[in-house]
Amino acid sequence: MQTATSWAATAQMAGEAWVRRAVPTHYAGRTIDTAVETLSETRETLEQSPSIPPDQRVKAREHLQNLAATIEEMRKAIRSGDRARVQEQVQQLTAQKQALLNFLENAGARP
Amino acid sequence: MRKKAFEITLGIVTSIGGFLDVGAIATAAQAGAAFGFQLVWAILLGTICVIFLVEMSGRLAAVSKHTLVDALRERFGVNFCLVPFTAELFVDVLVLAAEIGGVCLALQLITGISFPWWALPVAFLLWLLLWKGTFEIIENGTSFFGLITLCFVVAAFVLHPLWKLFGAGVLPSLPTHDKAHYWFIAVAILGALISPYLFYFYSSGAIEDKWGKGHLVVNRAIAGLGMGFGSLVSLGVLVVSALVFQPRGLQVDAYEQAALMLTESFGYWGFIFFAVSLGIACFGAALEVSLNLAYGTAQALGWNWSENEHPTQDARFSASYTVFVFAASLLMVIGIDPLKLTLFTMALTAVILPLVIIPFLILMNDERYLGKHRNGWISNGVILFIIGLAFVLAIVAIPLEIIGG
Amino acid sequence: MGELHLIRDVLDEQVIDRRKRKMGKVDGLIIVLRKDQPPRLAYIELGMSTLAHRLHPRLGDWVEALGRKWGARQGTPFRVPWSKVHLLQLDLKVDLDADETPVLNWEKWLNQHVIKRIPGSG
Repeated sequence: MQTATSWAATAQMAGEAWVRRAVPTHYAGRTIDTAVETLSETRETLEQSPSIPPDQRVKAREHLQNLAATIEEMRKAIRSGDRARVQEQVQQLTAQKQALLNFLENAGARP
Repeated sequence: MRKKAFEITLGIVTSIGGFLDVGAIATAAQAGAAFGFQLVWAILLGTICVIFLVEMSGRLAAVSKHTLVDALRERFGVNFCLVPFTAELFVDVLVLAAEIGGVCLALQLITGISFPWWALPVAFLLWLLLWKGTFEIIENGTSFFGLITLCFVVAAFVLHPLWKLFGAGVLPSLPTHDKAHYWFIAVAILGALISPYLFYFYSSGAIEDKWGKGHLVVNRAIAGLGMGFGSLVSLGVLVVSALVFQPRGLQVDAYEQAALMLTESFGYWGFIFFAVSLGIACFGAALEVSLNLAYGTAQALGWNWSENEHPTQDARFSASYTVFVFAASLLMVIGIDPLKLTLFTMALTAVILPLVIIPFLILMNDERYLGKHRNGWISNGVILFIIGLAFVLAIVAIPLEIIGG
Repeated sequence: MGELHLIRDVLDEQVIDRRKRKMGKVDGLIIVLRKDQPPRLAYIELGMSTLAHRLHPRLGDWVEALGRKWGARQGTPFRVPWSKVHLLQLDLKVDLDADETPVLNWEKWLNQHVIKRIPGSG
């Protein structure tokens, strides 16, 4: 889960930087691709780890799906060069990441 | 005297290979992102150890006119040296591959063209410089362009860190979370800084620059200032990473992430500065490691060698760096992740370190080589303590990290 | 001059020629056994196969076979009579010209066939 929040933060930061024109588009695109990949890997590991109680697993999966959906949107927006929409996704991502962190803290897991 | 002041370039080029190469930048960034300023002590401890080791190898070369590899084979015999030399050769080839990879990653950040495509062009440029250049061109060029890495130090000041917290990191403390990971990163930092190729290279460099006993004082200054420069930049990377990444919960597992480090302070230029610093530092380190591989081979077998001669004057020496550079670049062509490769080589370095350092210490206490310039108890004590510590940490922390994932 | 420790002071030391060119390291020592007389150090030996034999006999045989296959003279160990050896502080100086011995054969071969053909080598 640590990797998931870390890559969510990466996507968020790369998105922000792209909006400010501080990084080239090819770089932002590639970084967000990696973030999408890493998140789906984390989801697979989650599905396969038997130690997590079922109700928590469902919630965790939901959080990851939300993050992945936002990052996916961000990827499309960057491809079409839409800075305003990326800005929106960045804000949404910030909220979702915070929600995930809160959930993890309540679940007693490592943030 | 002006000539001697210029000798500092040997110190800077050596320190770039140790402190600013692909692995050291990565570990400093990881340390800052995961533990804030808490691991500053590991960089400082590594720096002290490297200063002592580099000073020793310079002293050996200046007094005995023999490089460290020469002296090791002559003093201990070929059978004893077989293990440390082969291990060093193996590690150096992997490190060279990772450094070439670092240059390729920097080019990927700037151009968007994926890194394996850059491996052969980078290797060719590297080889061309070795083929046509002299030792002086290489040390001066690397030192001059290496100054750009000071951008990390500037960024650290621009971000106004809480120096009190930084000060607290100077003394080692126990982590509040992720204990195994903390010690693993501490080992990785020590392993990245205390690389044997540093002092092997430095002793060869001292011979290339024709040092004599008159250089003993200069040698001390160069070891201190040169390694101090590298350490300063390394601390800059750690501070920036701690201030930019830690609050966001961003762990540095890939260079894509590290590349965002300077965008907060300098915007687009920050991105370019990061890529250029990475590229130049890794290129400098690659030059150093390639030369070190060829020096080591030639010295272990007693061949004639010098980067200052035309390749026709030392055919075997020139042929060996040619082979090493292209062999290492092939590892990058097939697309091995440079970061994973460096983490592996650093862990390996920490384990084989005692095997290299203890014979080195025995040599430094040998009257035949050093005469009255032998090691004092301070040098011996400091080195034994730090190497012992790094070794113990390595055999404890590496298995823990593997179990903990 | 006091004592000479063959292993410490001679074996594995750097050999240089009359003109201070590096010839290689002392890869082996040849001592002749004489009837009713003490053994005598006769030669120092330089060569890859000698070196390989010291690491492991099988490795030595292998290097030797390789040397025979790829131009016999390149790989043959070279012996320098002890009478031509002068001890310096740390190195051994031999009263020969490296160019007139086979120790640089490999160097010359590599130079002729590879290095010289690459532009910018000289």
